[in-house]
Amino acid sequence: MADAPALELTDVTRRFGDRTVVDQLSFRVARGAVFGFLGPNGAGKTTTLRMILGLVAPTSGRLTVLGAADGRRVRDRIGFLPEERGLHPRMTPLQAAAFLGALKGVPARAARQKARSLLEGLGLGASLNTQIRRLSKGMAQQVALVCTLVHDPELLILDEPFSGLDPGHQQALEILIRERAAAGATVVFSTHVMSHAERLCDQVVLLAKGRKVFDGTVPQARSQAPGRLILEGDLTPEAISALPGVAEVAASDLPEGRRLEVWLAPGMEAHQTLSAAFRAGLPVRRFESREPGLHEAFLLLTGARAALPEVEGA
Amino acid sequence: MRRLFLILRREYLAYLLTPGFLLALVTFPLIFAASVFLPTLLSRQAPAPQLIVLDLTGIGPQGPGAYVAAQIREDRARNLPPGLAPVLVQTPASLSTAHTPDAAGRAVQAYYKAFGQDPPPPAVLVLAGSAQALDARLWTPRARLLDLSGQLEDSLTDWSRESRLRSLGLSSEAVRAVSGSGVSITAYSPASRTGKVTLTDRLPHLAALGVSYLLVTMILAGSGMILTSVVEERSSRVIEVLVTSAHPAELLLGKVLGILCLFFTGLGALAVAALLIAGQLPQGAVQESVRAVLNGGLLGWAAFFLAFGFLLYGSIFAGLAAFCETPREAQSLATPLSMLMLIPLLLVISGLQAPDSPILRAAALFPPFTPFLMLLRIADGAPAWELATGISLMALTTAGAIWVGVQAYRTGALTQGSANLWSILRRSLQRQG
Repeated sequence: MADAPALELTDVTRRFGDRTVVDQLSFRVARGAVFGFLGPNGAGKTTTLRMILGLVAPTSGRLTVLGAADGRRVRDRIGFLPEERGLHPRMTPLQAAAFLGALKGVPARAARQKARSLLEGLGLGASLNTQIRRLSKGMAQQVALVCTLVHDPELLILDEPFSGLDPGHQQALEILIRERAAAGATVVFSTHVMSHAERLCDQVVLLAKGRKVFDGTVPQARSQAPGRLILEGDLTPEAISALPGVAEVAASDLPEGRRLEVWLAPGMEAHQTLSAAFRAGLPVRRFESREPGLHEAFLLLTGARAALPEVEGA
Repeated sequence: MRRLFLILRREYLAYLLTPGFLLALVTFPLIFAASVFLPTLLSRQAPAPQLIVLDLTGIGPQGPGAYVAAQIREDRARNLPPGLAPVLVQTPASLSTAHTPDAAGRAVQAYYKAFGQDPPPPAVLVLAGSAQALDARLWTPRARLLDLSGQLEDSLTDWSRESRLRSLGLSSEAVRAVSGSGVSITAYSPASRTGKVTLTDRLPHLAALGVSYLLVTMILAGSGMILTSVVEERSSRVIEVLVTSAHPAELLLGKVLGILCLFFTGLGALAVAALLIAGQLPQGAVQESVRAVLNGGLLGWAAFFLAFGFLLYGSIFAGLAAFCETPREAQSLATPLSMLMLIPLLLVISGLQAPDSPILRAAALFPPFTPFLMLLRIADGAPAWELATGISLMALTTAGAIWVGVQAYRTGALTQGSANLWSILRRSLQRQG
């Protein structure tokens, strides 16, 4: 069982009445991997996480969690951080961590020591005995995270862990996720923010309307999206469209000449198109190659490209 | 079991270390003491009612007016509470001219009009007619639920009896002897420890009433705590973390038992304080009663029924709360269930007169009412089969209530937005199927 994946879903479907929320979903997550679960709102991410945790039963299909058929059977080995951080507002961070750690089988004294060290590591040493309701939202989120980690789970499930965190806390969380993965834990997290997934994930699964639209590594995901070239000069869209590998061209006028945004066909490298332009003697004054990011892949694969505005630098 | 204990401890400590609990611990005995001593205090503090006796019978010194006045002076000499011992007031001139009850009535109304309302004018007892047909009217400035009528009626009945006995030829000494004679009954029962029935022997019946009141109080107060706790956990999504850490049954039972332990802590503290106070008192009825409670197994039965009753209703409340979005929603749902508890309470109050009535016996076997009523049946010597049947049915119903509560809690807790109880139960049954 040591080689068994941390998670394996096979044709998992969940319906609520007539509505299919998760449809024939299959994927595997290797032990020790950082796994990103991506998708727009309502894609079925939270429902899938709930099925993994054993809170909701699949309508059909099979799943195994740390080798068990049901997340509830291995609940002491899982750490779960819900999207809306669940903490008793009148408990202090130390009490909350000791209580939730003890529920997961950690002796109270050890849980308190561990919680103290984690909280101090996150800069919350001065608030150890302050009631959670008196902490800022960001601090409370940090406390919730500590409560998730206090029993050293083998499988960490984080539902939108970056939402509501300031950039400093986001960076601290990224470091923490890397540390946990380095220590051998499997980390599964859902997010809307592609940059986190891009930096952290060994594997990503993209969901749209309950169906899997992509399963692979970040570079593989990127390659699904077209690259872009920005060209400036006395150029015409017709001349650029005739170049090899060009899928789409959008032109805008500049005080001198034009600016053309060139979308390349999938798999096409920007330098091939650019070389062809020079070989054809086109008057290119300035060029800029933009590699496709996970964001573009996300928009393309989830069918949201037309609906969403372009994010500069994505 | 470990998780159940951890959740129980958290709930227990969450309330134990709050000012509210300590305040309740102090106020509960104060309220109890107030309920015992307040009526006496009010009656002692109230100004004594004033009374004018207007005797129009013409009988003279042997007449009813003089008799009533003498008894009132006697009562005041016995230092009775002011409310029970009116003060005689001299008859004003405006009233002494009346010779018939109707004329006296008119004069009293005019007198009241002239007197004003603050302080109120005295009551006026108008006596007319003869010894055989006495016409007695009591005029009072305000119509109240309780006035001097009862007391004056007793006094005039005594006068009437004595007057008739005298007319039959009895001497004044013989009349006084007849009036002073009386018979008191001493009750005996083989069920009594000493043979003679005393307050100590009647204590279990009173205890049954007390336990019923206590259970209703505990359920009403506890249900509020359970409802608020579950709704808070649901709205803050703490529940999602908890259900990934423990079984819903552990969460529900831990919550209900934690609050039950809190109540038992409070009751235990009050009982210890009461015992310490009783220990300081001289030997007497109080110490005898304490011994009867401690020796008779009454405490054990009381704790048993309090625990089962709270578990039964608490589980249902916790389950209901799991599909409520706000405390207000939960309270409105719990109100009809709380009203239901008034039925066994009324049955206990009525049942004190006839604890073996068929209706009470049947009601005591109805599981939701058993925790409230069975102690009264035990106090009245219920047969073993009745006790066993009642407890078995109650235990089965409590187990059922816990099951329903857990199903509702499990499904309701994880439902986002408002949920429907019937769909939750339907899904739960489907899952079991």
